[in-house]
Amino acid sequence: MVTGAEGTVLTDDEPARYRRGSAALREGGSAVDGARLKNCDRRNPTAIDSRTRSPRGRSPRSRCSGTVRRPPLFGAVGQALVRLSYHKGYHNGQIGLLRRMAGKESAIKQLYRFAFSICSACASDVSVSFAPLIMRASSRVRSCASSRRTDVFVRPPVSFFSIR
Amino acid sequence: MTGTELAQIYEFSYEAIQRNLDGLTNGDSVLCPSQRATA
Repeated sequence: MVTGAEGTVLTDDEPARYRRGSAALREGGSAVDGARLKNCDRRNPTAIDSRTRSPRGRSPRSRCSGTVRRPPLFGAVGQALVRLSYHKGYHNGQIGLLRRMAGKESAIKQLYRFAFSICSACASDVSVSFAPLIMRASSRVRSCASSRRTDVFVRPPVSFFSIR
Repeated sequence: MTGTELAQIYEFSYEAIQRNLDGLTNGDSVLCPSQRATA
């Protein structure tokens, strides 16, 4: 839709069932079939690739049309698609949590080792841990041995001491 | 960012969502979290 592709994957009345303030969805009720929803965006990558290159489509620099000009789909088509992708990632994280609450195993089975955090003062490892990729820390790490938290501050390479 | 790069982002997103939805039934998809906790 954003790129000028024809049609939508849901009928006109189906999105109303998911609007804020709508009634809770129940099994056997008015919810759209899960298998159908699961595959709704299967064609998105191909459609985006072809429609942003087609003369009849929209380039990433063109403006969103009036029919879709609402958050997060506003501004340039490329920016709107990036915004929407970020939004999808947020919901995917929620789906992951709900999946665990439903009693299913985590979708992420491989554990990733944290990057070694090297103390620039003594050149030793200050913390090594394991966690799924979605839980990787970005600003602080935790010591396995003592569970003591160590604040790590990222400073320019010219700054020798980076931990306090 | 080019259309091809945008398409790659959406391809990655699609695959990530598919992993999270793998094995979930339509019944799972309409259960409220509170119902899940007591199920």
